[in-house]
Amino acid sequence: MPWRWSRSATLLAGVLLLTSHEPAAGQTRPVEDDVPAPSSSPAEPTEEAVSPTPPRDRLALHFVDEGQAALDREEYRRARLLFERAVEVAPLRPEGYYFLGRANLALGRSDLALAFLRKAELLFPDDRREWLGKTTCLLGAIHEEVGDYPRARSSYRRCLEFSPDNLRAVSALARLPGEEPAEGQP
Amino acid sequence: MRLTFWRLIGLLFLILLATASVRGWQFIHKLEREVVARFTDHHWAVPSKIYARPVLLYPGLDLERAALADRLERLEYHRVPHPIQARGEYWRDPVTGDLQIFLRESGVPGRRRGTQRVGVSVAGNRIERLVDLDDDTELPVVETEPEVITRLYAQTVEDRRVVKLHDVPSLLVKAVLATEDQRFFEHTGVDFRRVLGAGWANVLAGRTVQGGSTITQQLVKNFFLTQDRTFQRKLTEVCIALIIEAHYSKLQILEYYLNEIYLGQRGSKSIFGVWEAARFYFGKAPRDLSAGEAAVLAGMIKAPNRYAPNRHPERAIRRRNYVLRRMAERGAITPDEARAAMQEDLGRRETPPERNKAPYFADFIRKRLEDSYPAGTLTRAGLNVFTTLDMRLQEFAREAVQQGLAALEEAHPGLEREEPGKRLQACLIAIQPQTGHILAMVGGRDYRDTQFNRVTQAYRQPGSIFKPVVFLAAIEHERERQSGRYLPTRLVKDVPFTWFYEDKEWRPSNYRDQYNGFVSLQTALARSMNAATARVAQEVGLEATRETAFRLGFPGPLPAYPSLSLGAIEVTPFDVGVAYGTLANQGTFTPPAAITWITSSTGAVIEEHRLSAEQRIDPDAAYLLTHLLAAAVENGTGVGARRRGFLHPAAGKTGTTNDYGDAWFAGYTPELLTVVWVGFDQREPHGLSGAAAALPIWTAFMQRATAGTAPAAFLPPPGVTLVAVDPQSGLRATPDCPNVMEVAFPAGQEPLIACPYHGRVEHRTADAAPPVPSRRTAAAPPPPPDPPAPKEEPPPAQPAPSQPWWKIF
Repeated sequence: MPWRWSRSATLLAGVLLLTSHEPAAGQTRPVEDDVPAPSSSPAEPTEEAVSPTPPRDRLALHFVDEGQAALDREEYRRARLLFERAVEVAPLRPEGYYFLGRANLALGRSDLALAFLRKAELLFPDDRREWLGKTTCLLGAIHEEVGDYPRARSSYRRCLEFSPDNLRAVSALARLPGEEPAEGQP
Repeated sequence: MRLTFWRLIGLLFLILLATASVRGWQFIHKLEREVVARFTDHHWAVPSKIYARPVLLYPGLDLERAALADRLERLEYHRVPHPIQARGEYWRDPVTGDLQIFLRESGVPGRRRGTQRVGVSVAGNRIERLVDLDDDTELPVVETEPEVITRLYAQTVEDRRVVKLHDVPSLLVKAVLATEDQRFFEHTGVDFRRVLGAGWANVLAGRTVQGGSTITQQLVKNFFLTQDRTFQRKLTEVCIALIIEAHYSKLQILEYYLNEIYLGQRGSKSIFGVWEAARFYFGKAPRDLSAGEAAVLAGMIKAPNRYAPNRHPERAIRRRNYVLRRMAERGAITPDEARAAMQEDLGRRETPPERNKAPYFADFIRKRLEDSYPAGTLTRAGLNVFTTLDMRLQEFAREAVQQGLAALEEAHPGLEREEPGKRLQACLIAIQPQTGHILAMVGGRDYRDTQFNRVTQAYRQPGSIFKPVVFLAAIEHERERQSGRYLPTRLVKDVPFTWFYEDKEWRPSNYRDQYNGFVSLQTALARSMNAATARVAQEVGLEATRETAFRLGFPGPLPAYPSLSLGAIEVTPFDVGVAYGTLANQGTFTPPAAITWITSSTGAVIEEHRLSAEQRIDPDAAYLLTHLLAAAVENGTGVGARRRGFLHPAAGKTGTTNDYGDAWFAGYTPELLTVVWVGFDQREPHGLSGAAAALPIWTAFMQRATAGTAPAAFLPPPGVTLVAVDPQSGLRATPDCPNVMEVAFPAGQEPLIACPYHGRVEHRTADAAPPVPSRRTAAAPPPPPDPPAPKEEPPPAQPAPSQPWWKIF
């Protein structure tokens, strides 16, 4: 039990450090702090944004944006519907899965959240490192929440591959029980 | 004495009168209770409807590929030669090619909308822009209402949609009253004046030329009684009419009547009520009817089939004009309005006979619903069942099956059978792997011949399409133990051998008893070698194979005997689709789904099915197997797909049973999975392999289903490395190797040694051909250093925020 308290405390500290919102998956939204803009965001043109996005993908991103708005309004069921539509329309776009994971988490379905986030992780290309960092960090947090510490550590480590400055992953790796000491440390 | 006699007679009469009064009162009272009970508890028998998925319109969509015009026609939209004015119309600007569509309401839960006037700007046959014509705002997406696949009828096939009186235009009400019961609001259920008038007219004519029944009496006749012409029935009708008038308002009676009246036939289905009639004869909701159309419907009540505008337009026009004259006489419309309405074109349209294009799928849905809902609910409760079926793909699938079988019979005349129930059959199921949505389902070549749905009901041997399960078990074994035994380039013996089990023995044999000695795992699967596969299964173990099959989605428990490895079990094509769907979805099992929503007749959600997912197979293992199956399409038993011109990245496997009774192909692109089976229901051998019989059908369907879409590649997960390998040595290809193939390895287990057979022999990776660029490996950064160990304790706890922890992401 003491562990749970300390873990919760750390999680809450993470909240203050990292509270932020995603940018819209395909639309212009303010990019905040450490939150990356997706590569298709017009706000930060990237190669993916410069190249024409296929019509189906644009439609899927529209549903993702609407879903994000619903998520912000805490309309989780509606958000889930919209993210599902995004997946239906463009099943190889990762954004729908990422947010579907978040919506299911909000609805108390961490099992589904895990499955969808893993799927998102598989689909995000390597050049979308910030999104991969967020996905793996969230995966780590869910594993941690359900007490699967080995997987949590693995996910946090992957998170640091993509976002080396992710304080949440750093602190989580430091506090998770059973962590082997780094080489050269006592 | 005489006085006493008459007193007795009088007394007897009084007793009889009293008795009759009491019995009469009892009869009336009982009748009243029955009538009120039936009327109050009456629920219209409204068939449930099964809908396909709606069509999405969005900028960039290729209108021709989407077959928009065809879909609008199927949704009973009318192309008009002028800008749209009423619901259900669409117009194509002859100059610009732009479209206007007046969409009807859509009741799909989660995206309900009212009517909508939409402008579609078209450039080069693609949608350039969508605009809401009411407020000139741009729309990112527009969705049509879903197409009805079929209705679920009881034995008496009735089409009816219940409508409230306030949704019926006054013009139609006036037309009905003018024709059927002018004094409806004045009488008390029976119009004695009209009865006398009609009787006198009939006496003068010497035959029945006029009826005296009021609307209430007609309702009673339809609702409670038979059509017999007897005095007793007429008397009962009068009594019930009076009772109803005493208990219900005129407006309630009118509403019942407008929903109850019979208004013709649609094939074998009876049309009841004004809503269904307006929709069938004019393609409109009642509120959109013109004066002339309302008069046609009102005129039909007397003899629906005699005055049906689609069958007897001249009679319908004469009858309509009669109704309009009556309306003008009654002051319901002005004489000028009547004259104008008489000039209206009848608007007769060819109503295509309702044809269920997905009868097997509809049966599949019905059976699924019958398990969950009480008998009668489906045929009476007016449920709306929204499904995942894509009507465009369904049409492609149907044509691929029919044309594929016809081509097979033409090429092999010995396969033709006269008797419809004994003809060569095929079935096809197409699934979106990521959602599990069933997009197309064809259960046989012709539903009229046989309603047996082979997709879900035909238990047949899968043969070689089961082999990937064995190889997946081997890949998982390799991932677990990292022995290097089951890498794609490692060799396995393809020679005859005997498998001893439980005091029995089993000898797997190859096609035409030809064996290949040592072959790579990749080749063994690509060329579907039985002996090599059985040997892998023996090494990996039957239990591992069974367990892998179960995780993929095959129904368990599967039998634990060696021939399982070559597919000597019985499964349905549906089961195969589910299992291959897990592979196509990178190891994530998504339950197959055909229904997304069920709503009541009032639109209340009764059931909803949300997307579910479960990672059952490691994504690396799923990809490694997909890569092997892709090799089967590129240069193995599935190469026929390439020869026929299907060029999208695809993975798949043929299947042929020993007796040549079952031919299969199960294959997928990253976005679409399709399984095809071909065979005789009687299990008669047809002598064709999966590549010869099922693959052409699969290819024909996939070519049309993916036409116009950008090819999508299978994405290797982070734990997989793609390496260019010399097929002869199974080692890294050098620039001198004449043949090079791309092979997927678990990261860290790829060959480091360069091929010694061609050119220089080097033992350094740098001299070998570079790894095939992989999205993951190419851009993967070096692993970061371990996170710095905190020197101090983690930050102290902060005050609890009001939001849950997961919101930080």
